[in-house]
Amino acid sequence: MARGPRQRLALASLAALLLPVLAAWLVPAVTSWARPLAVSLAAGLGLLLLLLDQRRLEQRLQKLQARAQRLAGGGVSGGGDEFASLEAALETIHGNFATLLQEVQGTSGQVRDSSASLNDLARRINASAGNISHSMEAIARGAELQNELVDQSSTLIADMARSIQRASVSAEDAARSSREASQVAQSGSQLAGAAVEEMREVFQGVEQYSRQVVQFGERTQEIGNIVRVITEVAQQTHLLAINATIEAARAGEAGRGFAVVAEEIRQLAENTSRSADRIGKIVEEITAASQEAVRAVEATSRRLAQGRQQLGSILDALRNIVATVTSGSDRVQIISRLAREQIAGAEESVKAIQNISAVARRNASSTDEVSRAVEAQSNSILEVTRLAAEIDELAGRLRQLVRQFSGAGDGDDPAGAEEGAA
Amino acid sequence: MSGQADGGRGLLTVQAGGERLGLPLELVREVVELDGELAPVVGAPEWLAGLLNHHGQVVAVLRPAALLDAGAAGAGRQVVLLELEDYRLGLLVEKVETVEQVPAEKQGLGGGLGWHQGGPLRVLDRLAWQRLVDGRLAGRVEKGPPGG
Repeated sequence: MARGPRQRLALASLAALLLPVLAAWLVPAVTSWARPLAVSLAAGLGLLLLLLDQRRLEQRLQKLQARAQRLAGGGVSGGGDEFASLEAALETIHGNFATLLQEVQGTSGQVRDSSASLNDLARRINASAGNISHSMEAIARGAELQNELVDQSSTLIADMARSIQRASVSAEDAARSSREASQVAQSGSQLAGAAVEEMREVFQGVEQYSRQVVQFGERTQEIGNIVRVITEVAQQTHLLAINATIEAARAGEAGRGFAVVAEEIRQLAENTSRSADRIGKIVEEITAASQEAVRAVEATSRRLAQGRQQLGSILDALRNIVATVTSGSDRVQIISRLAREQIAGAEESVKAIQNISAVARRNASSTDEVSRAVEAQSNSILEVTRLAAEIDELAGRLRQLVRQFSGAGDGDDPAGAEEGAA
Repeated sequence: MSGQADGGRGLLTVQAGGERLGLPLELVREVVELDGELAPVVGAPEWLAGLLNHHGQVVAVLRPAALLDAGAAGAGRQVVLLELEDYRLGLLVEKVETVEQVPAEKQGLGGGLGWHQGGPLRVLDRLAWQRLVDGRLAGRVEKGPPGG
């Protein structure tokens, strides 16, 4: 402190000496008479500067003393000398500062402890975050796998549904075919029934016809009988006429007219006989034909009866077919309905599995979000760790500074205590 | 009995034994239909068909075919009664055809064969009959006692 004013004083003295020399050297062009004047002017300026510096030095010492006293708490009073009171104030300041340093040292130690435990905590959180992250990844992988499986089973169920649909289509075809078969068989049955009815009518017609033919034959025989009688009468008439002719011939001329009449009668009788013969032949032919017809009708009747019987069995068979086909058709319809229900069930299954898939996808995205959150958390914790390390470092530097400072101020004891705490 | 007024005479044509016979009307008495069977004659020859009761008179009925040695005798049901000079006889014929006037030239000679109306006609007159019957009866007599 005494050194500063002293140097200033020396500097001022040097300036008082050098200024005239500088003036003498700087003004060579000036006339020689003016040189001693300039040197003395410069010497006088140097002396003035010296006096002014002395004055300012005193003022500044006083200000410094007042400031030190304020810093020391005010209660310091020197023995009268300005330098002594300044020294006392500085002593007090030093004491205060040592106390402050000690406190800073303690606080910095606590900061270091807190930073260490913070670091530890961050490490632990980070570790569990890593665990969570792993778990989340596992969950995500699981969800992915689940998604794949759901896709696979969805495909399988869709395939199954298609197969069932094909089966259903086949069953419907079969149902349609059997319905058609049933209808055909039913119409066949109706036709056969109608045929049986028609056949019965034909049968009745044939029976009637047969009766008529028989009656006709009987009538024809009656005609034959009548024809025989006519033939007989004609023959007798013929004979009578011949005899009459013979008698007429015996009577000679008298019987000539009678003979003509008798001849005409004979011819009539002959004609009648011939006609009766023809009728008789025709009657025989008719009788033969009607007998043939009766036999044919009898044979036809027998065949018709057989046909009727066969038609009856055909009708029975057709009815059986209708019954069988109808029951088959019913069964096929049941199959078709079941297949439709299965298709509906498969569609519902596909929907349900698609819902599961959607949920799984949502889960996967949620786990992604969680993973991202965990990652963000990890980053934050890393940041915290980094900040803690920074704080730790800052605390360390602070401690070092304090140590240096206290080492310079001969206050080593708090630094030693703080070293043990670290 | 005259019967041959216009160059012809009346003939009764009959069928007997597959032949057509012409019988002069002056010989014919009557034609009768057989009512029942002829009364058979034991040991009678082929030409004697049997006996006929005609209105109480017994008449011998002959088979012309056998008498004439013609074809097989048919089953006639009519008998022509002939009136010869001293007896009557019956001819069993299949069919009595008609009475007609046949020209003399168509009647053949002496009961010979003729042709009339699309067929052969054998005319047997009184002489022919007498010869036939007498001949048969003579043959018959030689072998046994004479029949009625």
